[in-house]
Amino acid sequence: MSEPLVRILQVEKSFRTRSEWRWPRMFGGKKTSLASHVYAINNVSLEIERGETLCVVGETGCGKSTLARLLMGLAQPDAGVIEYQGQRIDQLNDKQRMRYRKKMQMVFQNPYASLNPRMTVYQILREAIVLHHRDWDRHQVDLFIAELLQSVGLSKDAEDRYPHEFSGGQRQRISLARALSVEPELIVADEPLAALDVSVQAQVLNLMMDKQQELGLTYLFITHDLAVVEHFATRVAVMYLGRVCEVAIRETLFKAPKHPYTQALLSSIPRLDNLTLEPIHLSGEVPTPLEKPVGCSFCGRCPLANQRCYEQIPMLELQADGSQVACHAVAEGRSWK
Amino acid sequence: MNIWHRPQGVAEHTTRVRHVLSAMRGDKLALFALCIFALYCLVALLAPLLAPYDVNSVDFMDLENAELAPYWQTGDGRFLLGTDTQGRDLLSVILYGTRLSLTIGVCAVLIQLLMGGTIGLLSGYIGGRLDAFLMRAADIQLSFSTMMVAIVVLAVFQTLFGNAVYQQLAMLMLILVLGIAEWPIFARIIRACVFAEKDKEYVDAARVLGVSKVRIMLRHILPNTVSPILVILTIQIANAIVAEAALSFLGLGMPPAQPSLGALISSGFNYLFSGAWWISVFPSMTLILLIFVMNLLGDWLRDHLNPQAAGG
Amino acid sequence: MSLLSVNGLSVKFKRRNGDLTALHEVSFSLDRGERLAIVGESGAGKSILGYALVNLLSKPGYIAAGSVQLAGQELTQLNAKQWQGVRGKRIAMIFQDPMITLNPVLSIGDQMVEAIRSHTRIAYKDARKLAIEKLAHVRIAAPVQRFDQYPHELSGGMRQRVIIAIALLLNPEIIIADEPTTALDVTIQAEILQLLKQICLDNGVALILITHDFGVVSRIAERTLVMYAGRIVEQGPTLEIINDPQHPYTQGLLNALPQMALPGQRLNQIQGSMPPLSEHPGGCAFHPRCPYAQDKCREKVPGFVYSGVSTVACYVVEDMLAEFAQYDEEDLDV
Repeated sequence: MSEPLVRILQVEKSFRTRSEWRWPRMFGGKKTSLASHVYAINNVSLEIERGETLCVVGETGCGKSTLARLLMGLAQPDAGVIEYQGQRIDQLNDKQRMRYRKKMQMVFQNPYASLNPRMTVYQILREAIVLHHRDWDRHQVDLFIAELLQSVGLSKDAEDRYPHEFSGGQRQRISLARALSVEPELIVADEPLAALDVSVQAQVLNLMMDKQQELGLTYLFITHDLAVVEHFATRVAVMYLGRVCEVAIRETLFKAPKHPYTQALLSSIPRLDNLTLEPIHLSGEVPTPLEKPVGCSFCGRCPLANQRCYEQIPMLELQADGSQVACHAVAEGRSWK
Repeated sequence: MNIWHRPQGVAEHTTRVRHVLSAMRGDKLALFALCIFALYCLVALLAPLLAPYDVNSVDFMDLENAELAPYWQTGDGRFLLGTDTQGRDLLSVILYGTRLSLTIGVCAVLIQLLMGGTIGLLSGYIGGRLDAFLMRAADIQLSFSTMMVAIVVLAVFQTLFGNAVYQQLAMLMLILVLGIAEWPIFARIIRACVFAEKDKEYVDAARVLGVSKVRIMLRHILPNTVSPILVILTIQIANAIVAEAALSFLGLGMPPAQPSLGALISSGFNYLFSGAWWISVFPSMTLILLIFVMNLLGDWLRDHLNPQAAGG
Repeated sequence: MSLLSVNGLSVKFKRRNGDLTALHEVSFSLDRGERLAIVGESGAGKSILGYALVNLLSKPGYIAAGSVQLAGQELTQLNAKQWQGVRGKRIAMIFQDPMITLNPVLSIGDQMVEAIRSHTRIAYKDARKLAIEKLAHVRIAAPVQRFDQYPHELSGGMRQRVIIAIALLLNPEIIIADEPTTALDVTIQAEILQLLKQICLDNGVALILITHDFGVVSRIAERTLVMYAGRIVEQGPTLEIINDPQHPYTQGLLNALPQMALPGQRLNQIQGSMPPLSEHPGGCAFHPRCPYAQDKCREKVPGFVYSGVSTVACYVVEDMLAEFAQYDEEDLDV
């Protein structure tokens, strides 16, 4: 089997909720800190194959954005390994990371915040290009920018305008152009459609698919919108409260979801083609992970939970149809009703 | 997961300038304030050309002409606004005084901006212990009132080096003291802005591209903090001018040979009730009007550079 | 007679160089107990319509023309005091962000009691009882304990339930819900929608649901209005609109949904995006994006035509209907 493009191995990340400076210990600062931790990512392992679209799905606070930030080096994991083509990239300094910045880029959620309001489109794109092609002269840069803009469906006169002069969809195109400007292999897209209108979502999604075909891109696509996932993904990873609970190829996941959370999630998307489907009701809401859970992170809301779920962390296990599920209930064959 | 339904933080840069200008055109009061302020700046720049007398020439001070009333009382066409106790033409002195006051105000605030800006940027962008340390330093600095610090420093300087040296260095000292005493105001505002800006996605995007920290700070974050800086800049200049006037009034500011507006008010103050009211009143009015229009401008800028107010 | 009837409602925004029109002559009616959805993308004017109905337009906006009648009572002419008896009492509102409505420094119980007592003379004890009853009604567990909690102690879904409970306090005739589930996660969204629907059924309350999501609409509304650039372009029974959209915009919107294309295939996108308020084009506002646009679409705003059970404002549909009618006549002749 060929080597995956990215391998994320048992990665953990927690955040301090209070990050104030306290007196150093020699001035009588207390050893026990009052700061509590939010455990955003707990022992997550994932692989991204070259050329695929891996969608990470989950609700608010499940750690999917944190995962993207860890991968892009915007935050450092507390534990675990992130590899890019077999090379560790999780502990690099800025200089060492430069090589990988050229290979992986990111598209952000909010097109109104992800472009510097004080820079023209030309300046935004130029900054990226010049950084990675120091030997290019002005003419080459200009040509490349024109080409980039055209490839994301913007006209040449967009160059000298400021981001606020564009609509949300157009800004997301600029964001994509910026990401493409370093000719990356992997694009991490963190909810790139969430802020857009339906008709514009379709435009951006189409553009992303076109680019994937054209350039052979690999996507890590983070979203909460299962309709988009069903359309766009090659493989899907479902996350809940900092853990991956199910990984499967798209067809398998949508045809035969196994983890109770996945099932509930799938049943709650309003669907136009099946109006009679009643959503599965989960009790309660996603809690804030202030303590490292001892059992399954979903056990509090899971209708199938038993004693074992509260005590033992389920691991991802390979199922007969190739999907991986982390659930005791599935392993034991417990089912609904 | 937020879903943004309206464009947020619209109206930036080009439109910001355009917006401010068009809004200015609509607002008579703001336009008036801007005109007056521009007039002050012009007067300050061109004082040597505008003044009827050269304040530096030897025969400028003539005690024979001391305490002459304004033109419309005496009919003496030589001195439009009368003369002060030393026989100097009040109009000329006021013109030069305005120039001095404005220079001191602007230079002091530039020092504040430079210090506060650097410290605020570093503090906000790097954060952590450095931030905590710098902000505590700012707190300590602010807990001494500006006037108190200025009075102590200037008084000590005066006694240490004697009056002659002080007279030469008075302007520099005033600028330094006023500049250094109030840097925390800028530092705090800029730090708060940087804190708000650095978590925005465009900064992350720049980091992901590999843009260096210094460039992110200067090219990405700094330009986005301009609006609040502009507002406090105006108000701080007004404050610095008032502080300088107050210090001069107390005899710790500019020496009588090089009078700023404050020093002029002070020198005329003793004669206020003995008939020579003009020596004090004209500089006072000049100062009050200047401070008034600057505060007007500052308030107005605050209203109109606010993205929420400016957005559509 | 319908409960709420809106006729030719136009909303404009005051600007120095010419007012901007945000709503162009919107007319619709709502029956008692009916669940109506107003669908549109951002900038379509759907929220403005919601605000205009209860006279909550923010400053530069004003109602330029038209009437809003609640059971025969004209609402646009009411003064601030008369509004007190309508807003919150007969028409309740639910917003996207619960924290807009909830005061963070008051316990939810205090806020509910205050809401009741500002409209009716009732003892604190009774108001409290009523509030707890309503909290239980929206299926909040342990309502007595929740009564004394502050908004920040509740989760997002719970807050939205509280908001619904507050809306229900005075037994309103209409609830206007502006994107009530947009800020929530999918699993919670499903529950809140279910709850809203149930509550409307239980109490006979009419609902106006403002949303951008056809999925939400399909779950809850009986009738749907589709808005584009400040105009209603199509209205009809929800199922009819979803299964057989007539207006090119509605068609485009529904076709753009990912589930309408085979996985991995390109989606059917509509070109361009909704024009901003200041650039509403003349004629049919959709013509620059419409694949069927003709000359007359650019010149004149199309009127409404009845097409089956829906009404549509589109020349293409109009022409088609005319053609059909002609065929029918020819058939009759033969």
